[in-house]
Amino acid sequence: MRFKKPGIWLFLLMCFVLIGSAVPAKTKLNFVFWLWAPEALEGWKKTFEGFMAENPDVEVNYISVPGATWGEYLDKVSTLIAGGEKPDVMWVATEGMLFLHRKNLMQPLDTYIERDKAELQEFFEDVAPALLEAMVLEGKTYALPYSWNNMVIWYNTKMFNDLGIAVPQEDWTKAEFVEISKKLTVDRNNDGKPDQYGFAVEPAYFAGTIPWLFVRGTSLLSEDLSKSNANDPKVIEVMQFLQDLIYKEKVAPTPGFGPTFNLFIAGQIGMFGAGRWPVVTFVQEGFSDCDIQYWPKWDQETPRITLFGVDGFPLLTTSQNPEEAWKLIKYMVRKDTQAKLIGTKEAPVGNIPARRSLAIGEEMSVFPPKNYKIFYESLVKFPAKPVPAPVAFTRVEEIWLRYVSAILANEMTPEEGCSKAHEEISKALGQ
Amino acid sequence: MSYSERVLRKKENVTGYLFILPTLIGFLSFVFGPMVAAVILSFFSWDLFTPPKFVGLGNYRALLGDEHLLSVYKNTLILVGGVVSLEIIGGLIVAVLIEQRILRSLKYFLRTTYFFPYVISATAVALVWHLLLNPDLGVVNYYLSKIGIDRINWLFSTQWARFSIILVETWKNIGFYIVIFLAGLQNIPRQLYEAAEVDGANRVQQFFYLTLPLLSPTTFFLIVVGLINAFQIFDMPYVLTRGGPGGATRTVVMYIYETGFRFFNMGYAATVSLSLFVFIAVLTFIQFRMSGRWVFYR
Repeated sequence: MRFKKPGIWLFLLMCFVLIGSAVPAKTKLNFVFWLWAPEALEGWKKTFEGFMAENPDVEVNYISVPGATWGEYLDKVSTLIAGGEKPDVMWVATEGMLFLHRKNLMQPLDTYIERDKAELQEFFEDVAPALLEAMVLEGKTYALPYSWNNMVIWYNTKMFNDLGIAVPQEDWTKAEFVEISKKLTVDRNNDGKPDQYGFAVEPAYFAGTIPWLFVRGTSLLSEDLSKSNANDPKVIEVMQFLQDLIYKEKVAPTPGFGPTFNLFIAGQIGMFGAGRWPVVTFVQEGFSDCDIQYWPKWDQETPRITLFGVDGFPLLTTSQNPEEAWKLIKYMVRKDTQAKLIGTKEAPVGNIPARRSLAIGEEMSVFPPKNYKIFYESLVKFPAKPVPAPVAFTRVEEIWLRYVSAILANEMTPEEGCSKAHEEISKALGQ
Repeated sequence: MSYSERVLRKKENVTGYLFILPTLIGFLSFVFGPMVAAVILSFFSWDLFTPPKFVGLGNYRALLGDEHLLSVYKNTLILVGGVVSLEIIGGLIVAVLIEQRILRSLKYFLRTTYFFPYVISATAVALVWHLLLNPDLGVVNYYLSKIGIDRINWLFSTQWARFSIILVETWKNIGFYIVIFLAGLQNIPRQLYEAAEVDGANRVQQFFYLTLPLLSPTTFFLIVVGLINAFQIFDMPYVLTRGGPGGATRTVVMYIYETGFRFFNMGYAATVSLSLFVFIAVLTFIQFRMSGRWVFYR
């Protein structure tokens, strides 16, 4: 093409420049979150759209990261950041807080909170102190609680009814738990093998072994998370108990039994431990014959300790637009935003909103379990502690689960497994 | 050589280089580059977030004192031994059976059927087998119980978990071995068999004295490729057992992945991966040296 009339081209170019500068450039916010299931994306999109409608000068550029667990998600985000991505805000749970803190990736929010105290007061009054405290590291607040989960026992009400078993009461103990498990374990076709079991022992961290350690009054790590406690006789006692459920009492299937939620729906497992997240599967499958109870007490003397994990949105040190990011963080804890966490029949969500008014509110009653209020009550009725997650969380989790799986496969005694785990965890924490 | 000939030769060379250029670029940027980077990284301590720190031979010293390394190498060797021998022997048997005088369309059908799992993603294969091998609800145990065999804990006991991985890995890859063996079999001239028959050799003798030696270059190729692939086994144990129970199925590559991308110890991960590289290289070298004794080229 020959430029016969350069004047016209120059004019057009000027027009573009003028139009371009007339539209104010939007501030881009990079937001990273865990996409635990592809269905969840719609909900996030709606939240971002809501925020952008109120803040037309901001554009949320979201990066969804898939993964099976919080730990896996965190690994991928870390690689993302190391690869040069500069998120402003990311979603993170207890499991990753210390890690991000040690890597100096989070900014304290205290000055922002202080500045907008009046605006946030209503939020702080609506959240359990345990959740707020979990976001404080070395006296500084790094996130505002968005959603959380704690460990409770789910039970299949139909199985209890059919077998004429009384549903567990609030003050039930481990002994009653074993009794109920025995009653729930039935060999229907008389082949000498149970076809339905009382309980599912999961070789998991948060969702498997730690709740038992907490009700036994112990933990995998020391209080300040700096030392291993895996060789504590109480830890060994708990592991012996779990191994016995499978091989001595024979009220639990051997681990590796497969999709717990589906087995529970099918009436092949009477009880299992989880947070609110099974709701997603249950609603999708149209299943509602279930309810929840607090984790059983070890015995009448030992006080119960609630295990929980909470998440929020820290402002990252890589942020280039902290003011806009802070706006988004505040938006995420607003009541109307968190109300979406309850989910809808079409798109159920498995978390519990951080706000008390929502967690015990009527809206939750649309979904199972009927006893949903004890999710929140477990945080205030009993001492509540977040999941032990040191800086080297992924490493500690890997070591612990490696030995847990050997113990639950009956290939190692609890003493041996726990003492070896203790050795390795100590080494990992020392590095 | 005349001037015009030289120009022509030069042109041909350029054309040749242009043809291999895409592969060359791919090789340099995705294979050779990372290899050099791994060697350099092995002298550093790097957590991805803070700048790498030079540690000299520190990672190599750690390698020598790493008790996990021994166990992951042991696991890998067991899996590799099982997988490669099953694939070679199984692949050979199936290929010989398919090569019998059967309907041509049936031949195609069988070949395609066996090859099919090879093209499916390993993760999908592992997920399906995870369900099939489920101890309490899996189809495999269901049918075993019908014939009076007790429930087997396929994925959650040390000895069975390794066996299951060998089984599934073989099931997935055997099609490749069958196809290559078939090609090898078709290269053996018919006349040799006819001559053997005239000499009075029966089918078994024909197989051992004719088929097997003449297939030896194919077998050699498959063993080399099979070993190299098997040493890098990752997705099957990762999905089927997560390396458990108690680390019984944790392989070297899983260990490298964990060290690098879960514990953010890139330098050490690079060192372990170099150890695997050296291990495979030495093994392959030995195979080539030994091959003179049992591989026959016509």
